[in-house]
Amino acid sequence: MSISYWRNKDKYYRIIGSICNDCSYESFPEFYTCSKCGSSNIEDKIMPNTGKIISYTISYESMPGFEAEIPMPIGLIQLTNGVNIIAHIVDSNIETIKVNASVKSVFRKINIDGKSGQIFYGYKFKVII
Amino acid sequence: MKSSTSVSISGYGGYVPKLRLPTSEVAKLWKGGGSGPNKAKSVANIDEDTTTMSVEAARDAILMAGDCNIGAVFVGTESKPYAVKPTSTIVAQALGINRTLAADFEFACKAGTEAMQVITGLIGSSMIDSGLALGVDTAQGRPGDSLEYTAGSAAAAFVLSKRSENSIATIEASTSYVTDTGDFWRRQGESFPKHLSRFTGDPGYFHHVESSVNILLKEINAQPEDFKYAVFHQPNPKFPVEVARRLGFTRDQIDTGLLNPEIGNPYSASSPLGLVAILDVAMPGDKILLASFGSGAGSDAFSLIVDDNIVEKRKNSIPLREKLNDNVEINYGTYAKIRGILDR
Amino acid sequence: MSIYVSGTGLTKVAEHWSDSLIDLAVKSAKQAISESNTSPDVVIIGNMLSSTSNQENLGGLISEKLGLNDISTFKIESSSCSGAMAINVAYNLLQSNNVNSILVVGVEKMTDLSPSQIIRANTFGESSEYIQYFGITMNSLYALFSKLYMDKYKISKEELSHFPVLSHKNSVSCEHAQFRKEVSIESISKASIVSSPLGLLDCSPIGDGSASVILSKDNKSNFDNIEILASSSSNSPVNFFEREDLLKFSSTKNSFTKALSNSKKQLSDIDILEIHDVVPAITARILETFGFSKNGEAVQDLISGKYALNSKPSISTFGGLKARGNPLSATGIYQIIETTWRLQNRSELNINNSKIGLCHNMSGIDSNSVVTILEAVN
Repeated sequence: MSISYWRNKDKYYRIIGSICNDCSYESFPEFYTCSKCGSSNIEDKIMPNTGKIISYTISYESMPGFEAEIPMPIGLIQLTNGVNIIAHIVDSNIETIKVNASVKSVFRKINIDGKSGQIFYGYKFKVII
Repeated sequence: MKSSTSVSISGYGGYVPKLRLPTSEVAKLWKGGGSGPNKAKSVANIDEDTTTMSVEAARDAILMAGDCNIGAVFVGTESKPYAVKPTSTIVAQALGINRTLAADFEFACKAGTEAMQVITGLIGSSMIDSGLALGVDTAQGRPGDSLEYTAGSAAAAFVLSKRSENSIATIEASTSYVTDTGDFWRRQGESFPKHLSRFTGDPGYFHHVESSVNILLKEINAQPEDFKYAVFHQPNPKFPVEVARRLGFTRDQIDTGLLNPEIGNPYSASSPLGLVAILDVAMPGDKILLASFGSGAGSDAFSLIVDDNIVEKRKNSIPLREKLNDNVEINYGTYAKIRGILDR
Repeated sequence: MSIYVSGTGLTKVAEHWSDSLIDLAVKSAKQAISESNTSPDVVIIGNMLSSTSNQENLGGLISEKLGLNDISTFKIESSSCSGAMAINVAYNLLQSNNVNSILVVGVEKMTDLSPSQIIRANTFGESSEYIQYFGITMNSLYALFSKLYMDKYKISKEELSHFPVLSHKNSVSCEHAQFRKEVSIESISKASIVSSPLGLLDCSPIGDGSASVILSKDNKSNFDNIEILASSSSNSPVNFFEREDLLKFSSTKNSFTKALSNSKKQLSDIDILEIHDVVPAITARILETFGFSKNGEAVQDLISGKYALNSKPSISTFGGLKARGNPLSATGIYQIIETTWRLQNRSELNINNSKIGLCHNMSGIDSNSVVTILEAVN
């Protein structure tokens, strides 16, 4: 996980996706050819850090490493540029987590590799009133 | 000390985690009732640490500073997530900055102001244009110890730059005073610090803060009444009030920056966060005294003068006191779960 | 040229503590070979999680244990539709002159892992870097999709519960089903939440299983001829939330359209549907995508009696993914076998004189799908 994490750190820290220079279509995660027009004229683009919730769920089960975070709110978020992203929703009262709620990205720990392994960071979102 | 070129704060940001542990919860467990000296302390959530809080505060500070060429990222903390691996490189990467000096500073609760001093020198010498100084901690108190009431979490970030019309507050002068005084320490490999109780008072906190402030006042030929605001390191609600009294500062001067009653002592973020609270309301021309204290021991003292553009610069940021109102109280069980799980 | 299902074999779907991945595969494969009175030229294994048992080269290991030498053998993986995809590959290979009969083995061993490892393994088909890394589970993805569907068409969790109720009703008489008890709407509502709004009884279970078939150009078994009329597959973006219409199942639609066209049959000819009914909202969308119900109306149709065992088409006739079980890569082949047995009227299993069955298997949320159409021919 460590080296794959290092490869992706800018994507996890700054939500960097792609923009097609030919048709302006944006994507996160990045693409290699534009999924709208097929062009290879692509470059990195930092995604907006705000958006709204279009679907959400609270998970009561977890993968290894996430046990302590149950119940885990997960949101399907539409960023202000139309790109959809799935992420944890944190620091938000449960009643505020609803469709159309505005959210903003935050920088948090995603997981840790036990007591002596690495710490993994990345994006989550929180509801902004 | 004065740098040869004027250096100012061009952006600032404060981050305090949402969770609060009322000290009555701690007292209920260990004393059967009552509360601690402060009302509550801020608690970093399971997915927060020194690095995550640094990034949040730094992002706000950089947003306020605007376009600037950051050449130093220094994180002052005593709760580094890694004993060996700098927090500052993670913060720099998260901000998209690679051509920079980066280091973690350690000097108990004065590591943040230490970073401010060093960056002032780097800018003053024209080696860099701007620098980012962070004072941040997720302080841990040994269960049942008196520090458990106050050891809190927060981050304060300052972007320092050459003085310009973009400035918020200029550093008029600063001092640093240190002695080898082991009032509070943590050995390698230990989870919690140890301290010498009442010895941390006069020989520790008071001696060093009074010394650095008196040296500073003499250097710039100033009196306490010249300052609109004063903020001191806040290990508990009482010490800053007492040291202010001893130095000749009034309650009015220190109230704006006094955060310990609400959030406890976030160690390296303590006095810097108090400065953030002051900058949220200070007006052009106001003089501010900042004095930190780090066990081991030492104190940094600064005199700052607020610049003309402060109101315009801070207009888009949410004041710290307003952010503090958005909090959620937890009980000791939840607190223990959060702390215990950090050991996994 | 006709291609027949000429041998079948399966294990019960269960927690097979005493059987390894290879044991399970060999058990179902031996039955299929025996039934077919044929020796296969090719052995294809459909499997997705063998790496969690630290085992690859399944083709080699399983074929050897079956005593099959000098054959071509390999594994096919396409996440949770690996079973049906193996069928699809076999069907296409059989179009060539070089091959006469193929053994297709679907096998999955899930229960050697800890519960939280299983949850991760279930999500292997989704992005390792952007979904698994963040600890987002397959059930959470299903839940996010379900909520979009429920919000758009104003359908309640209770209404959707009619799907698992039907599945469990149908599995009572199914000897190989993991669960053979009926469930009520009430027990479904009361079941603990896995990822809201999905509860324990909305989600398909964890289980081990293996199902095998022999596909060949002639049928030497003692059972009726069941011909594969068509098998088609199609893909679409893996992340459902990156699609233009988040609720549209393009992969399923395209697989279905191609298969139906190749089979030269109509929608109204289809008697049995074994579809990828992994959670209720997805079941509803599949039926709507095929055109058996209008968009948003599958649940209402179900509640008014459509899709039940005695109607045409009937769905999940042995319990589907929910009650018969979902041992991932084996599921697609369980579907083929169940359809085959009904069409052959084994043990009086035929219902309503059914002649044509359609099997649909999917990976993730319609990132990949396979539709296979079978007919009882004389």
